[in-house]
Amino acid sequence: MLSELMAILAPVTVLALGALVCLGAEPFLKDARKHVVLPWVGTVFAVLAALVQFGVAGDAVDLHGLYAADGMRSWLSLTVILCAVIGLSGLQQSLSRDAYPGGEPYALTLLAACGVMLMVAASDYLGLFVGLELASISIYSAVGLRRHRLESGEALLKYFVMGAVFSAVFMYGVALSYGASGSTAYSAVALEGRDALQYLGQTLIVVALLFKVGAVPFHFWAPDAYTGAPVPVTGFMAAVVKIGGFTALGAIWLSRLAVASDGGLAGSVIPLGAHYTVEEMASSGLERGHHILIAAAILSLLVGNFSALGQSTLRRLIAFSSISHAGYMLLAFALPGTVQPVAMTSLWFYLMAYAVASAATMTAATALCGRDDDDRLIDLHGAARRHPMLGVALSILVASMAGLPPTAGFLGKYLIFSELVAKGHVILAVLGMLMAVVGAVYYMRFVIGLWSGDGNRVPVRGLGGLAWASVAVAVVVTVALLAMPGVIIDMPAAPIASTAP
Amino acid sequence: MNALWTALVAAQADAAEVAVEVTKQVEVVDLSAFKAVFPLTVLVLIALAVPLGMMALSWLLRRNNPSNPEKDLPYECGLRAVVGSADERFSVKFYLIAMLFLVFDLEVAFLYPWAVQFKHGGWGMLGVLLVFLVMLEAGYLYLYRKGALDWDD
Repeated sequence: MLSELMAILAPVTVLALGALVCLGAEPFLKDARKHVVLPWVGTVFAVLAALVQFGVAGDAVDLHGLYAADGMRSWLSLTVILCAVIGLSGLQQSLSRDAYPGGEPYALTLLAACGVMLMVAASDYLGLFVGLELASISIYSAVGLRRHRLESGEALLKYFVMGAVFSAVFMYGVALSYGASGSTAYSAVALEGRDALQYLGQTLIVVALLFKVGAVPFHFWAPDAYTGAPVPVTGFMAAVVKIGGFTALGAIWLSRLAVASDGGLAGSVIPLGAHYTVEEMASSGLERGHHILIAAAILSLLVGNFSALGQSTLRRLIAFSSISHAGYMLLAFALPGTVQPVAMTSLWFYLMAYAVASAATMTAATALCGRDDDDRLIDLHGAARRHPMLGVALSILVASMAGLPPTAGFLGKYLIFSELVAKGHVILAVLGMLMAVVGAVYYMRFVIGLWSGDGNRVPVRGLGGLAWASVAVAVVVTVALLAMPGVIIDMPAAPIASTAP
Repeated sequence: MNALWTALVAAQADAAEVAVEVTKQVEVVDLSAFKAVFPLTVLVLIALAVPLGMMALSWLLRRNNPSNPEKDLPYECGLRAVVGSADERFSVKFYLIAMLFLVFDLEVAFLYPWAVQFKHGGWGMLGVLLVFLVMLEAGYLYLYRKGALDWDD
C-alpha cells in the first residue's frame, strides 16, 4: 500500500512542497531578490521530484484505481517536470526584466505541473478532475499575470470563463457516465458500451478534453489566452495542458480499446504502453469516438496551420500552431481498417517532443522580446546574429516543432504518419504531410527571420544562467529523443498490479 | 383467516405474472435508449415549465395599471431608493476580509468539538490540532507579510 502511494504520489508531493516553500518564502524576500531566489528553489524541488520519479519508476502499480504508475506515465511526468523548470526559468527572465512585484508565479507554475502530473497518473475520472482543476486554476492565474494590460485581462477572463464552463461540461459527462455504468474508473466505464446515457456522457467528456487541448472547434479561447499570457507562460501552458489533456484522452481510449479487443486487461487499469488488436469495432462504440476525434483532427490541422500563416506576433503564431499540433496528435486516435495491433505510442512520443520544444522555444524567445513581452515577429529579425548561441538553440527547437530532422519532432510526425498508412488511412496521412509542409512555411519563416536582418531592435541582454541551462537541456532532449527513441517507443507494457479489492 | 391468506398469496402471484408479462412486452421494442433519456427529458420539461408557468400565471392574474411611478421603484423598506445603480464597485478588500473571517470562523468551529473530546484523545490529538493550526497560521502570516490586512494602501 505504502509503496504504491510512494510510487504514484511521491514526485507530485515533492513538487507541491516546492510550491508551498516558494509561496511561504515569498513575502519574506525583497522584491528584487524574489526573482533570483524563488526560481532556483523551485528548480531544486523539481530536480528532487525528477530524481524521486526516476527512483520509483519501473513498478506498474495503481492506487485503488484512482491513480496509476507505469513506465510511460513516468516518462510523461518527467517531461512535465522538465517543462516546469523551463517555465520557471523563462518566468524568471520575463518577470525580473519587468520588475514584477511578487514571486507567486513560480509557485503557480509548480502547482500547475503538479496538476498535470496528477492528470497523467489518473486512471479515474474523478482523479483526473482533481488534476485538471489544479492545473487549470494555476494556469488561469498565470495567464493573467500582467493585470495592468488590457489584453492580459481579456485573456484571463476568456480563458477562465470558458474553462470553467468546460470543466462543468466535463463533470456533467462524468455524472452521466456514472449513471450509466455505476463507476468513475476509466476501465469500468469503458465496459458499459451501448447505453444512450453512456454515449452522451462520453461525448461530453471528450468535448471537454478537446477544449483543454485546444482542438478545433473548441479552440476559440486559445489565440486570445496565449496572446495575453507572458511569453514563457505561453510555451509552458501549450506544453503541459496538452500533456495532461492528451494523456487523459489516450488513457480513456486505451481502456475502450481493451474492451473491444480480446479482453486482455479489460476492466482493470491499463498501462499507457499497452497495445490492442481490435476485433469488433462496430459494436463497441469506438467508431463513433473515432469519427469525432478524426473530424476534430482534420479541422484542427486546417484551421491551425492556415491561421498561423498570417500571424504577426510570436505568441499568436505559437497559439495557432499549437492548435495544429493538437490535430497531428488527434490523428494518432485513428482506428485501423483491418484487424491489427493498435497502440498510442506515437502519441506519447509526439507529446514529449512537442512539449519540450514548445516550452523551451518560448523561454528562449523571452530573452529576445521587449518590455512587457513585446513579441512582434518583425522585431525579432536578426536576433540570431546578435545572440548566435540562442539562435542555434531556437532553430533546433523550432525545427522540432516543424517536424524537420535532426529532431524529435521529425520522428514524432513520422511515427504518426507511418502508423496512419499502416492502418489504411492514406488520405489522412497525406493530409497530415501537406499540413506539415504548411507548418514548415511559417516555422521556417520565423527561423529565417531570426538569421536575417541587422538585429537592431533586439535587446542586448541574453538569457540568464538558469534559463540557459534549461534551454540547453531541452535542446539535448530534443536531439537525444531522435537518437535513441527506443527508450520510449519500445517501452514494455507490463500489466498493472492492482491494489483494488 | 387461512382462506384469506391463500387468496392474498394467489393475488400476489397473479400480480407477479402480470408484471413479468409487462416486462416481456416492453422488451419486444428496444426502449433502452428512450429509458436512459426519459428522466432527463422530464427534468428539462419541468425546469422549463416551472418558470414559464410562474411568469404566465403572474401575467394572467396581475392588474396592469402603470399609472403610479412609485410602483416601478425597487422596494426599500418604504424608503425611496437612494443607493444608485446596482452595479456599484466595491473594494476587493471587503471580499478579502470576508474570506479571512470565514477561515478563522471555521477554525473556531472546529476547535469546539475538539476541545470537548480532548480528554479522551490525549497528546496525539494536540499534535493533530497543532498541524491544523500551523497550516492556518502560515496562511495568516503570508497574508500579513503581503500587506493584505492594511486597510490603507
